[in-house]
Amino acid sequence: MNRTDRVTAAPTIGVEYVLPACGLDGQFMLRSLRPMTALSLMFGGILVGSMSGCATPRVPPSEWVVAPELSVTNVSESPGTRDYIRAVAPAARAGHRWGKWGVGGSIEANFFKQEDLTGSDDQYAALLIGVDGEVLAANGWVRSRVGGGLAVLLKGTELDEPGNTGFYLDIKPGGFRFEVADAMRLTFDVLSMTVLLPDASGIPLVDVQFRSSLSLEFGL
Amino acid sequence: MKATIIAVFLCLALPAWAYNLDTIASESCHEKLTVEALLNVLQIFNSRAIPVPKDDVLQRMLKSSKVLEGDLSESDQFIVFSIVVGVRSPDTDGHSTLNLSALRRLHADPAPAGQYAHALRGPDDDYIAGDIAAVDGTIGIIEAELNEVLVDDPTAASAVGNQSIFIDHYGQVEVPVFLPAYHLGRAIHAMQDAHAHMVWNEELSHVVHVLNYIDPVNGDHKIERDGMAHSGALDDCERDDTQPMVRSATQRSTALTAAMLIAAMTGDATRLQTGLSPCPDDLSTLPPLPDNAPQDAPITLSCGWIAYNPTCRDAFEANDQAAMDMHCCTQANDYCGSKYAILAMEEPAAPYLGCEASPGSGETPWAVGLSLLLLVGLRRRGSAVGAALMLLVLVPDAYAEAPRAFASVEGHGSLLNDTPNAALLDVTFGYSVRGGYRWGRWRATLHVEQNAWLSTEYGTSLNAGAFNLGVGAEALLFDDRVRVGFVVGPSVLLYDTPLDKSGTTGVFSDLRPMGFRYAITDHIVVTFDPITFSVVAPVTSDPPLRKLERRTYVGAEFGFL
Repeated sequence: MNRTDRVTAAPTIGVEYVLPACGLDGQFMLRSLRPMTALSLMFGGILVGSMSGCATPRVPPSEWVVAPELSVTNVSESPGTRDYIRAVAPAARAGHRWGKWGVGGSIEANFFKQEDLTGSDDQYAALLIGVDGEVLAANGWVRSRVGGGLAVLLKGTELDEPGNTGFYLDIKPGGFRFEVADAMRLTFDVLSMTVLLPDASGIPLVDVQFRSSLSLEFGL
Repeated sequence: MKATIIAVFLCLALPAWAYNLDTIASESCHEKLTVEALLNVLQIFNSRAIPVPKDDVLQRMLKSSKVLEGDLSESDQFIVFSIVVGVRSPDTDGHSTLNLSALRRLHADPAPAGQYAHALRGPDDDYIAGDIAAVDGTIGIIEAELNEVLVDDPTAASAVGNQSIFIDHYGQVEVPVFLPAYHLGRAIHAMQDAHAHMVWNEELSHVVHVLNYIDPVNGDHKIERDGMAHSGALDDCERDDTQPMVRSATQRSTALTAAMLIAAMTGDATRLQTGLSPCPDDLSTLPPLPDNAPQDAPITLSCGWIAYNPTCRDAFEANDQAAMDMHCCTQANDYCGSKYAILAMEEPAAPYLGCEASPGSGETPWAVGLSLLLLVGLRRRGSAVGAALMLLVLVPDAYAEAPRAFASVEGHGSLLNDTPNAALLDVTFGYSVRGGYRWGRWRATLHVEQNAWLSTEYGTSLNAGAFNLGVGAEALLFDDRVRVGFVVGPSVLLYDTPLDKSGTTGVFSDLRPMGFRYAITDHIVVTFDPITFSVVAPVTSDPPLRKLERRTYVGAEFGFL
């Protein structure tokens, strides 16, 4: 069977949203989320969001913030491959911000797949614990962040030993921030890059992830 | 004839490589040895009976080989092609040489057979017993390939099967190969690696020591127990001091190739079995050639192609420690004074990230290149992001009264690739001219670019890549300090690939999810797009050439109305 024949229909995806600060609510359902469809939605979402009348995100002089975050790899498609979403990474972050500058710490569970020699999936899991620095720009509409830290391998193949520890680097060059409610901001990083090396011994286990992230930040 | 065979290799973009991987960081060795072997024996082999499949991809690849001088028949080309696919197979298994995940699977394989395929010790092959196990294991690998060569009817359709190859920018592609020749290629690989990964005596008549790759790379290596580390120096066929080994490897590859081709066509494996056996006295025993082979065929070595130090083996099998101390070659006696042992001390393998490397040690060349490029790439992207952060803070708002028409010049580059089953490094770069007109926050955009590609699979070369044209729209947000945009249009291939001609046209798209804009004057804006997503697909027919690029753009925009 040709590899490309193994592409399977993506699952139905539904999203309901209520953004009171933006005067928006609604829902959309997708039966088959194709890569370009997903990207188009992202792109459209940004435009709609940026033009929809959300209140300008506040930039308090000083505040603590906490945020659950979810990152997924976006289009990883090429001839001979089948996975559109190759990695999923829920995370939690806490930090402090002084005006436009901020620092934080995060913990992330990173579940990712790589193909083995036969074309089957190798399933991996890693725990990422790190610190980051960020800056707000464009009156608080844009957030840039760079972070890094330790990557602990939780699950791998027979070549790997759980517990092996390496490092990771996370670059989120620009995320759109929307004030969706009082002291609650939605941040959408359309494209960011994470490189993790949870096993740096021998021939290292390296995974490069270009991904999209959604974060719901609460100011305390 | 030799030039023709080389032409086949080059035009198929599939040069063989032996001792070291032909990657972005190293030149191929195996190509020369395999070409020499084929040159010597292809004339004794009647390939015309071999049916060449009417597979479109294969036909295009074979046809492209005739661009240069060519006096090989199509069947000969098919044989050469199949051998080359086989020669490359043990090191890549049809994957990219820069697919770290696949290489990790292949070269960090703790199973002994995984190491014997490269004439190396398994992880548990220690001391003299480890030497003997590795030599016997390597011979076993070659014999296993022999079993695949000896098909009932080499002219039957069942002698042809599909194998994966990796073609620059296309990715993994399945092509039909002549299976006996494919397995011959795999056997040649082991035979040639035996000269790069084993230390031979001065006369090159037998092996005195076997090197170790997996233990030093894993950082658990004791030379007296595990043997010497894999040597980048012994792996280099271009060095003057490795030339005797290179000549010997070529001779033995020639003999092996002839024997296996004869076995494939006649079923007579006598010559092969003799070659893989130790020589009883000297190298004079030469079984007669089969009737259908020219009697002047340049076949030399008939036995002892891979043989371990016979006196040491006898002592080991007799469990005679005193005799072993006298005859076996170890670190304690400087490996019996073999000059190749001295050479093998140079450029020992070490963990890729170098944490446990001894002073002066070196990784395999491709690993060095990969590590450096990765680090450089990360640093560059990190620097770029750092610069972006600084600009975000330091640069004031973009112009308030924006000009309506604009033109910009940009440079772009991409480095890393997260696509499964592809090269981790996929270097592209280029330049573009972009212009358009503005209505409010919206702009209509025309984008023209050249996107050049670095090929790394079969030697390093810079290709013209593709000419891309796009039309689309942009929106300027947040006081014009952020731009999002999308263009789509045709993509035109600018050079001949092994499968497609220059001028082939497909599709191009470029999504810019967030670009930063910094006003320098009222009419000049510096633009910076840290990560974008581009699809460059100049070939849409099967197999498609479709590159997913995560680019970084830097440009200068001029407003003039």
